[in-house]
Amino acid sequence: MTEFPRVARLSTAAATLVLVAGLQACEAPSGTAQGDGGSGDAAQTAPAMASSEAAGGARTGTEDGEWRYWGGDEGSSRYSPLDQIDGDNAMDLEIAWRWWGANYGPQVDYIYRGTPIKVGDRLYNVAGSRRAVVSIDPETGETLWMWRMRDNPRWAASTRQNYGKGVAYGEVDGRGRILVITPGYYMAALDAETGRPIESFGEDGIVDLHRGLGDYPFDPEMGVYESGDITSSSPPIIVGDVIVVGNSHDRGYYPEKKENIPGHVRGYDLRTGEQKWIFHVLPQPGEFGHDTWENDAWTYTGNISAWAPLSADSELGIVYIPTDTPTNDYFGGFRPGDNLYGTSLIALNADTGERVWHFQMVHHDVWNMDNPDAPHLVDITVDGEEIPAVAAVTKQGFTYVFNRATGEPVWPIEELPVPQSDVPTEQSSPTQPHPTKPAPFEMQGMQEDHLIDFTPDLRAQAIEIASQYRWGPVFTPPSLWEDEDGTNGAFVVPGANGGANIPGGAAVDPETGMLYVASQRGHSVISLIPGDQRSEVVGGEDSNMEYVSRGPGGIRGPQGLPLLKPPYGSITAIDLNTGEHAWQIPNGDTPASITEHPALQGLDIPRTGKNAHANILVTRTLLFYGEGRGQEPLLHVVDKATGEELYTIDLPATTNTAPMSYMHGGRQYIILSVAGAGEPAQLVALALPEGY
Amino acid sequence: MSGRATRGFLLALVGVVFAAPIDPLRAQDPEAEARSTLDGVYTAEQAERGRQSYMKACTECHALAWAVGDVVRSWEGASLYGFFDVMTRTMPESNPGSLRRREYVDIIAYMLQVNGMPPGEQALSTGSSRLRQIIFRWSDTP
Repeated sequence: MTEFPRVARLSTAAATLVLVAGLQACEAPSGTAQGDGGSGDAAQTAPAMASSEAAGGARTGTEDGEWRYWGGDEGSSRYSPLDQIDGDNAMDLEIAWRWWGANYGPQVDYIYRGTPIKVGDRLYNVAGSRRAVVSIDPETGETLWMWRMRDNPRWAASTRQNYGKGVAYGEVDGRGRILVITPGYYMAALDAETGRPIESFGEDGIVDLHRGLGDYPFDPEMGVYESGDITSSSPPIIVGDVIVVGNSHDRGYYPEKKENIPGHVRGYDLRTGEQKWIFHVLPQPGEFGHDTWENDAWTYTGNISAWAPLSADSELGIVYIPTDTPTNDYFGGFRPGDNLYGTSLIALNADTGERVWHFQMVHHDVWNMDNPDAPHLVDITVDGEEIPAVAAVTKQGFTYVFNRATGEPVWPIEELPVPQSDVPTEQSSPTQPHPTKPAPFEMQGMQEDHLIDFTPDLRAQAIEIASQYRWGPVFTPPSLWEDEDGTNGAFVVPGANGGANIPGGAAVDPETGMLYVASQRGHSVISLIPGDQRSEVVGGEDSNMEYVSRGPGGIRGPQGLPLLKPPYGSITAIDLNTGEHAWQIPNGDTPASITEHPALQGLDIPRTGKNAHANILVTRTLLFYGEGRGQEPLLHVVDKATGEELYTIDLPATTNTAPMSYMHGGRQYIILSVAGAGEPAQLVALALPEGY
Repeated sequence: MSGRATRGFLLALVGVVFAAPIDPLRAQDPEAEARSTLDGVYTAEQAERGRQSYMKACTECHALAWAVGDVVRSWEGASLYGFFDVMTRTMPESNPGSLRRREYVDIIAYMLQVNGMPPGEQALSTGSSRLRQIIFRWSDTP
């Protein structure tokens, strides 16, 4: 018999008290809180907060064996309280069914980034580059219905065709509806039972999200904003009767234009699809934060998308928005200032879109340190004080933990001086926030001790390879290709693909307050070139920006080996009640490219893990992880209390994204989205044998 | 740790060793050392096709110039197969493994060309064993 424990939560009254205390804290900034000067601003939102609380409603999602949100529950815990599968029987897991999702677009898909939700007796997911929506029988894997948007030019132009992460579920008058955002940036509402568009929502079930962002240049022929590509790969999140919609943009490594559309966040009526509010992630004149744009760049530039999935606390009535870098990722000379709300966590009143609090992780971001994962909500006890918390894991390897009602950091976050840019016209921020706790979960910055160390020769070769670039701590700024000091750019460690990121992200256990973070050891070498050399160096057209990067890539170490020493990827357990790391394990065995490498024969090589983000799921007693893109097709079963690896289970292909788990017909299932070279996209359902 | 047999299709047990063939990065056959990327292991036509494929599949994240220099140089001493293996497992990011085998090999040919490694009369093979027998040698290596 499986139990479904409820998450211990603060009462509404207690939350209100915490909120009031937090507002007072805002009025006496400690130097660690963000939103300086925002005490009055925050106070203005208090009545709306109180109104939202009155609406009530517990955070929900994984009760009764369901998985109602991309992240399980609305707080994106990615935790299932189920315990039918445990450490004594997980070795007997077998494939209950497989569902094939490779042919929902003009190409066979060898990647599957969608995580299903489970509501009632149905699974719902997206599939393929057309981002079809499918309803699947949770017991058999049978396709029950499929919907996809008719072919349209905006789909063809979308840069996020094959990145669909999933769908959202809501109810109107007791009837379920599925919400999806398409690659062309339309939002569709489908009847959960039939898959038919809901005619009373938008226009025959569709809302055009390329409307309502503001007075920006518009191309009526294509029906899109002219300056920039905006779409979304994540599902929206539903809070009460409001659908909150984020967005994503084209990559910002070396854009041709500094003009871009800002990724403003919007709320829509769940019943009608009518746009209810807009929150300007690039503040307009008169709005808080507008003065962090020190010239006129706010009139024409953009990005600052909320591309990762969103989280919410419907009891507090708050939606949590992680944001991206402003245009472009590695150079901001044309946009002096801190550039709110770039690279921030924003807490908005979900009913009104008003800002409750925010924290900017990176001022004037020129490192592509966009927030890459849904914020994780959890209630913790720190030094005897109960705190409703939100934890954000990041590409720079920091975990930022806040009181989610007030935005007050749980542990001090210090503004520390950082190296300054010498790129002409760039004005880097003199300081950046550094959390004092928890400790970083991944290697940060470049120094000699971080380089490959299997042998002194390999270390020496690595130093030679790395010596043509600048080294420094985590916020070492990008520098010029062929700089007069003889360097060709600067290391960013962890870099674009390192630290935490969306495929692995994190999971948090609401019963223990333990956060589990999947990270990759990585680096970028960021070299800037003049914009008028873009066509020659990058391809395509020149850029109207003074500088663009040569891309986010890193360099190999000697003889095709990794430049940095292992572990190449990790899973770290962090006790959010204390801020201390509980354990850290490599994310898999040592790959053949290491064990078979001629230069390493006869050496005692430690378990290195894999150069990928593990795809993790946490249940009552276990942590499961797949090895992630390009790695071995294995599911690892780990004792979550100790980090001990218990078993590995073979899969048809490697996992690509976050798994999920649900209970149906008395049987617990684990769903893995898998694909890889030669194995098209599919869902694999694991369960114990029937009658076990 | 041991376990008992499962009934699962394609599922094996606890502690199962990855069963796919292990591909050494470097050729094991001593004669293979005779062939390196300096020996004209691809054709100019192939490199041109590779340039087209690179423009189509890679430049969203990798600049044309990224293909020049360290990204190839650091593979010095390793076989082409290791490079091919990483590419086919992880690239392009939007749909890894989705290019034809021939396209991946053409892209390698392009990357050899832009790094000054000479073309020859015979095209670079798509066969894994052939790729294993060709070693990266940097053109300015003494």
